[in-house]
Amino acid sequence: MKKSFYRITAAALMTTMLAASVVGCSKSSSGGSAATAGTETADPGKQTTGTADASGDLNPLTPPEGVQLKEDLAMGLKSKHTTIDTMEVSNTQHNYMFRMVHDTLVHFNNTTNELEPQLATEWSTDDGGKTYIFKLRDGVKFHNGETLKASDVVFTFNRMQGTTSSNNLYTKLESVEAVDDMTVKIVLINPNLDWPYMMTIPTTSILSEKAVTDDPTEGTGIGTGPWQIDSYEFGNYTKLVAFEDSWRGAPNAKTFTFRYIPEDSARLIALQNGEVDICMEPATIELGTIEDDPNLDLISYDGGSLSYFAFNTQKSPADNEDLRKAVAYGIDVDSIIAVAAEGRGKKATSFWGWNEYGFYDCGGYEYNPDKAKEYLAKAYPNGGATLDVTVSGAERKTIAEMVQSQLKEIGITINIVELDSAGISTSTTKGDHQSCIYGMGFNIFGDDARRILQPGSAVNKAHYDDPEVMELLDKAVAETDEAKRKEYYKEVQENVHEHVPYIPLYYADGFIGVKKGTGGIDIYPTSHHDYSKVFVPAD
Amino acid sequence: MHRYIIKRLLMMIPVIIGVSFLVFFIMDLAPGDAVDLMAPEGATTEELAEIRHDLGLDKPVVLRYADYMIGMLHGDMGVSYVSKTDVFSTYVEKLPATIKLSFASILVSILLSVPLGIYSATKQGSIQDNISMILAMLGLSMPNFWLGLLLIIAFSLNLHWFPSGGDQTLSSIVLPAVTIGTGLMATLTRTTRSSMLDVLKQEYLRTARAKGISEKTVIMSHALRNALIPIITIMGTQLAGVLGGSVLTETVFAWPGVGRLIVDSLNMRDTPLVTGSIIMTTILVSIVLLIVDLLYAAVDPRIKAQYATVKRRKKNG
Repeated sequence: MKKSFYRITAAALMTTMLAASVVGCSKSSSGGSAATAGTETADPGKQTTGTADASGDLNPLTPPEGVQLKEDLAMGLKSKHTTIDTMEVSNTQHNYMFRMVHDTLVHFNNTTNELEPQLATEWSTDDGGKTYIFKLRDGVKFHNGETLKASDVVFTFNRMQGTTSSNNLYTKLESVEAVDDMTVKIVLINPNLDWPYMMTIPTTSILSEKAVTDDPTEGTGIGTGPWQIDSYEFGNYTKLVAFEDSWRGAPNAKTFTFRYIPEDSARLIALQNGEVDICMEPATIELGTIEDDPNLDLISYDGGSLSYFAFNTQKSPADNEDLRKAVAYGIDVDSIIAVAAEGRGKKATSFWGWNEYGFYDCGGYEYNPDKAKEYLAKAYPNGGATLDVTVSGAERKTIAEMVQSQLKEIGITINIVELDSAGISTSTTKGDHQSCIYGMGFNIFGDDARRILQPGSAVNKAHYDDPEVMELLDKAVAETDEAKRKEYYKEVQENVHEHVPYIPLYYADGFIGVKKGTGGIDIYPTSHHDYSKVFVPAD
Repeated sequence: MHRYIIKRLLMMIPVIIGVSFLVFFIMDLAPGDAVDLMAPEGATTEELAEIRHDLGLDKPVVLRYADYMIGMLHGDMGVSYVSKTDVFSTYVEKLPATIKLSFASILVSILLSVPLGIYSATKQGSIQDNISMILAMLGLSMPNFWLGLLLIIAFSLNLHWFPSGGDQTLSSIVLPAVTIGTGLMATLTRTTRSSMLDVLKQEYLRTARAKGISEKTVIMSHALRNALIPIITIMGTQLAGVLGGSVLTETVFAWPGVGRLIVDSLNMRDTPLVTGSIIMTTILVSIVLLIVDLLYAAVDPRIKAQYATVKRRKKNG
C-alpha cells in the first residue's frame, strides 16, 4: 500500500513538474517566455527597420503632438558600467551614457552620413590633414556651470596620454594648442583625413578642465550633454538627470536610469512589466515575444557588427593559403546565417564595414565544395587536414559547429576550442590559436581598417602582415582625391579577399526592445546609439 | 569563552592565507588576463605590454602574490583593474545587499521548514508526514534559476505583485528570498523533523504530559528547544553558504550583491577584486560559523560548560 502510494505520488509530481515547465516556457499574450531553447522564434519577415526618421512608425524622431511623455525613464543593460571616465573604456553600454552626458567636437549624422558641427562649429585643414583648426561653439555650459573654452579642449587631449581607450589617439598628436579662447589648433604627426571622423567617437568627449582638476574621479562625469550624472553604483545602476541648460536643449524626460540586468529573460520581463522602457540587445530567441506584445515595439536596424573567421597566418596550418581558400569556399554562409543568427543577419562580401568609408563589394566567397576540394588537394595532397577553431559564446560556437560539419564534407577536420571572453581575447592576441571565429564593429572612417590589418594590433586576429596593405592604408589616409582614396581602400579589400586571412561571414541585425511609441533614438550601426533625445509616451 | 573566541579568530589567519593563495594561483592558471579585455580595440601589442607593466601583470605570479599579501598586511586589498576603485570599498558597497538577501532567505527557509518539520514529526508515518517531506524535497529539486524565472513570470509579470528584479523597493527582496529559501527548505525541514523525532521519544516529555501540560507547550517549549542544536547547525551553514553569494539568483533578479560581483570580476580576470572579495567572504563566513557555535552555548548549558577554561574546570573539580 505504502509502496503504491509512493509510486503514484512520484509519478504525479513528475507529471506536474513537466507540465509546469511547459506552461512556464510557452508564450502567452501577457506572459514572456522562459529561457528555454527551442521555443518559438520570430518570423524574419516581420522585422521592420527603425531609423531616426519621422516618417517611420517605429522610433519617430520627435514626440507626437499632444501626447504626454514619461518623465522617468529606465533602460535595462546587458553589461554593466564600470567607470564614468570617457577615456577609460569604449564599449556599447558606456557609450550610451557618454553620448548623453558629453559632447564631442564633431557629430556624425546617421541619416545623411555627413559630419555636422557639435562643440566645434567649423573645422578646416590647409595641409592635407596634418593640421586642423577647430572653432568652438559659443556659450556652451558644462554641468558645473563653467563655459566651454579652448583650454578645456587642450586639457582633454593632453589628458588622453596613458589612458586606456584614448591613448592611441594621443599617440597620433604632435601638438594641441589654444589659438584663442574659442579656437583650437591640432597638429598630427602624420596627415590623417579621417581625423574629423575620429572626433565623433565618445572617447574624444570634451571634459571640463576645472572639474577634472578639482576632482579627478567625479570630475570626468561633468560634460556638456543634455544629461548629467546624478548617482551611480557600478554593477547596479547609473542615474542621469536632465540638464536644462544644455546647448542641445533640454531632453524629453527628467531622469534616465541605466539598470544592469544581465539575464536576458529577466531584462525582457522588466520591459514587459514596465520596470524599464528600453531593453538593450534582447536575446534572439525573445524577439518574437517583443513583436507579438501589443505594448512593445521592436526596433531593428542594419547592424555593423561583423562575425568573421580569422586564420592565424603566422602559424601552421593556417599559414597555408590554399587551405584558407579551401575553407572559404567550403563554408555555406547562408546556412550559418539561417541557423546561428536565426536569419537575422546579412551576408558580408568584404572584410570591411558596410557603413565604413571606402566599402567595396568583393563578392564574398561562393559556397563551392568542388572548388574547395581543389584547393584542399593543393594544400594537402595526401589528405589529413585538421584545423583548430577557437570560439567564445553560444552563437559563435554554433557557427563553429556548422563550419565543422560543412568542412567535414570536403575533408577538413575541425577541432573546436572553446574559451571564455578573456581567454579567447588573450589567446588570439598572443597568436596561440590556429583560427578563430570572432566579431567586431567598424567605425565610419576608412582608416579604421588599420587596426585589424596592422601587424602587432591586438585586433588583428589573423596576425596578417602585408607591407602592401599598410602602404595602401598610409596613402589613403593622406589622399585628398576622393576617387584615389576609394581606389586604395578597394585594393586593400581585394588583397584581403585574395589572400584570405579573414573570411567575413555576416553582419548581425541589431535590435532594441522598447515600450510602444518610444522614439528619439539616434541609431548607430555600431550599436552605440544616442539616447539623448529619447522619449516614451506615458501610460 | 573569551579564549575560545580568540582562538577561533586566530584560526582565520591560516584560512585566509590558504584561500588567497588558491585564488591567486588558480586565476593565474586560467587563460587570459584583464588587459586584453580592458584595452581599446586597435591597441598594439606594445601598448598591451605597457598596460600589463603598469598593472604589475608582467611580474612572476609569486612576486605578485607577495606584493598582494604585503599590501594586505597594511590593510590594502588593492584596486580593481577594471573600475580602478578600491577593492575593499567596492566589496563593502555590495555587502549590505547580500546580507539582506541572506537573512531574508534564511527567514523564509525557517518560516517554511521549522513548522513543516515539527508538524511532520508529530504526524510521523502519516500521509501528512509524507506530503510534508515531498514538499520539502520539491524545494531542493527545483533548479534555482528556473524557479526564480517562474516566480518572476507568475508574481511579477502576470500578477504585478512584486518587481522582477533589482533592489529599488522593499518588496524587491521577496521573490529572490523565496527562491533561495525554497532551495534551503529540504535540508532544514528534514533536520527539524529528525531532531524532533529524537526528542519526542524522550521520557521527560511523557512526564510533562502527565503533569497536564498542553501538547502545544510540550512541543514548542520543551521538545523544540532541545531539538534546536542540529537545526541551528544547519541554519548556520546555510547562512554561511548564502552569504558567499547566490550567484544564479542574483543574476536572475539583477540583485546587486557580492555573488554577482565575484562572477563579473572573474569573467574580466580582475584578480584583485576576485581575491579580495573571496577573502572578505571567507572572513564573513568564518564569523558566522563562530556565532553559530556561540549560539549553541546560549541554547544548551552543557555546551557552555565545555567552553569553560581549564583553570575553572580545575577549580570546580
